[in-house]
Amino acid sequence: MQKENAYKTNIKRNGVTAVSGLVMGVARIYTRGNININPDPIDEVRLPDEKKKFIQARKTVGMTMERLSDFADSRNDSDTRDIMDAQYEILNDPELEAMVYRLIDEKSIRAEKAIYDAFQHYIDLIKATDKSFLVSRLSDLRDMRDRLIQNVQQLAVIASFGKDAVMVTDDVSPIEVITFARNGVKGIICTAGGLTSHASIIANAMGIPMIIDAKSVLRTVQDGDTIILDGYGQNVIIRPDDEASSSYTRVIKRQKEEDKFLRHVIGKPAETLCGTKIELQANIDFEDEVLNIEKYRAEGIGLLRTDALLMNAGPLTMDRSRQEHFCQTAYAGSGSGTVTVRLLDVGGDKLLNIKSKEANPFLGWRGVRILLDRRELLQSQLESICRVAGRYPGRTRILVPMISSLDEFLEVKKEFEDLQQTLEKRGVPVDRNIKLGIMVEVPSVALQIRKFAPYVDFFSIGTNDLTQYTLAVDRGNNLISSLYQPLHPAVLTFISMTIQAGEEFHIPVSVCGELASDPYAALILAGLGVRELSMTPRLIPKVKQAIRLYEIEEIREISKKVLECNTRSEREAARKEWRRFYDEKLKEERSKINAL
Amino acid sequence: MIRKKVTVQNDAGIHARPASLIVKEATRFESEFHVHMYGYRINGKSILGLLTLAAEKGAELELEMDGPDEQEAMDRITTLFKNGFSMSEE
Repeated sequence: MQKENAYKTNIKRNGVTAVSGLVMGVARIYTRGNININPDPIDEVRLPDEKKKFIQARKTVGMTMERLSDFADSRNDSDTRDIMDAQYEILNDPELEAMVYRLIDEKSIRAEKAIYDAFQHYIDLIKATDKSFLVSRLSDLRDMRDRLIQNVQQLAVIASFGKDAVMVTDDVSPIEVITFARNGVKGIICTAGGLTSHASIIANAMGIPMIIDAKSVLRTVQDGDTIILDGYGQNVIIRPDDEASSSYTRVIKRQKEEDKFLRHVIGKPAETLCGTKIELQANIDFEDEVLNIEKYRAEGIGLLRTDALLMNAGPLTMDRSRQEHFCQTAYAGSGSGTVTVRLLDVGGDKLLNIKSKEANPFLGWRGVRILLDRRELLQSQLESICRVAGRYPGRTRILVPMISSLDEFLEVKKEFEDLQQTLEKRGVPVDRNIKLGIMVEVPSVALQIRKFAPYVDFFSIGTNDLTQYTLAVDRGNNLISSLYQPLHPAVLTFISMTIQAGEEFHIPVSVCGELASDPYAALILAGLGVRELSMTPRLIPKVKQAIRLYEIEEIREISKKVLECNTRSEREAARKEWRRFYDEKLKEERSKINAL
Repeated sequence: MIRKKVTVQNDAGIHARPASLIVKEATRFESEFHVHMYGYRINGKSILGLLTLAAEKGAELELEMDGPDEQEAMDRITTLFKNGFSMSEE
């Protein structure tokens, strides 16, 4: 197919930045292919990789499958639901796995062929039973086989792209983002817009810059072209000329140096020059991220979001074993640190079909409001958490989202206490030290925070929602995005009130919103008295570096200054001034480190 | 190691759903679990293995449990058979 402008260089296309960053690489056009099995034997050295491919494909298919069960539930279709349940077990069947491995080893074949043959073995056996109640279900087995094979082949395609790949695709699923990340993809460009957050949350967590809504890119780019993804400029440059590439190379080089420089703080404590400690914890969304806790030395998990489990499972069907597995991975990967598990925090749109869309979802049925209406969901979540907590005593905090009244919290607390008792009676080891806390994100709660304090073990401030509710600004709305000001004095005042109540009642206060990962904002929060900040682990070094360059008194001054800013332009000026001084500090620090 | 005989009591036999219930329950325990039927011995944690038995109502199976939590595991699995695999969460 002839592409337009095929010979032109330096073509700029606009998009919307979903994950910030700047990369230059080789454009790889990513499409989803058909099944075609290659039965030829391969070189022995490649066999371990084939096994890995099978395991990865199995994981991916498992995730997509659960999304189908979602559909089954929305139709109240228990037959389909049952099939899905069985499929999950089939997928994870230990004998199937053993057979695939054996076939790969003994016959030196590709994963796709081994999967095909292993399934065929069982299909033949079941056919031979001649029992209609089983034979009628064979299509399920074939379907699963095909999906696994398709996925293995997709993986092979992605792996062949090499380390410099920048994916160009029409749309991308969360699972594909994970697959990209595992294969070292440098950036993602999508022509589709309005991607709901999940694919981009994952890309962000994995540190992969991503631009969406880049409508005409696919018409212009050719596979193998050099491409620049500029998340700061919200655009893509296809086939950059020498001038463009050398100027971008310079910027990228500077960025890399910055990252490299930041490595020196990773092993150092997060404390001010005068020794005030600020705990820097990890926000974790999904399993693959757990490794980053150790890598960036996060001090425990300040926010373990369980929402991704729901995304992959069906509504109200969060399989307890999967929840437990997720929690278990998180505990195992975070040393002896605290693990703060947040109960499901989604809007009603994730649970119901589109028909029941709400006019004001952010003011609607979400968070604890859903959990209290759907007790079985709340109970199943609490049970998973408590069971795992029992195995890692003294480390668990449970965070209740979207609390807007004390009654809600007390009800959850009652459920929690009842459940712990039931578990204990059944002989399940329980942790009597689990802390139960609330998200402070609704202004009414912040205003009356002292009323909550006697009942609550900790506060966690969700800056995104607190800002949006305090300032009446929908942060997803482009028309008013400039009004979204998390450092607005009104927001900071609420934060300050929470901290004061925390100090008075000896309750820890943490901040787990995006704000905490911006060094300037992190300093302001620390200046207000926050001693726990939770963020995407890879952003921890940047924040830690900032904290380590100040005395706590200086930090308090920075907060004080911003509290006095009444207008946006004053706030911008204050930030600029800080930046100037901070850049100086950084420069000094860098020359000190380099001199060592 | 302990062994116990059970009879399939539900009308539909061990089709996909009962098999998946057995596997779900069995994998919660550490003990190795095998099922004997007509001289076959299959891994009870393998749903495909269970399905190939094609056990219908009235079929007799012998369960074999081996490991530190074998007694509890055996109790749970036999309960499933006794209840005819009706949904029994806890």
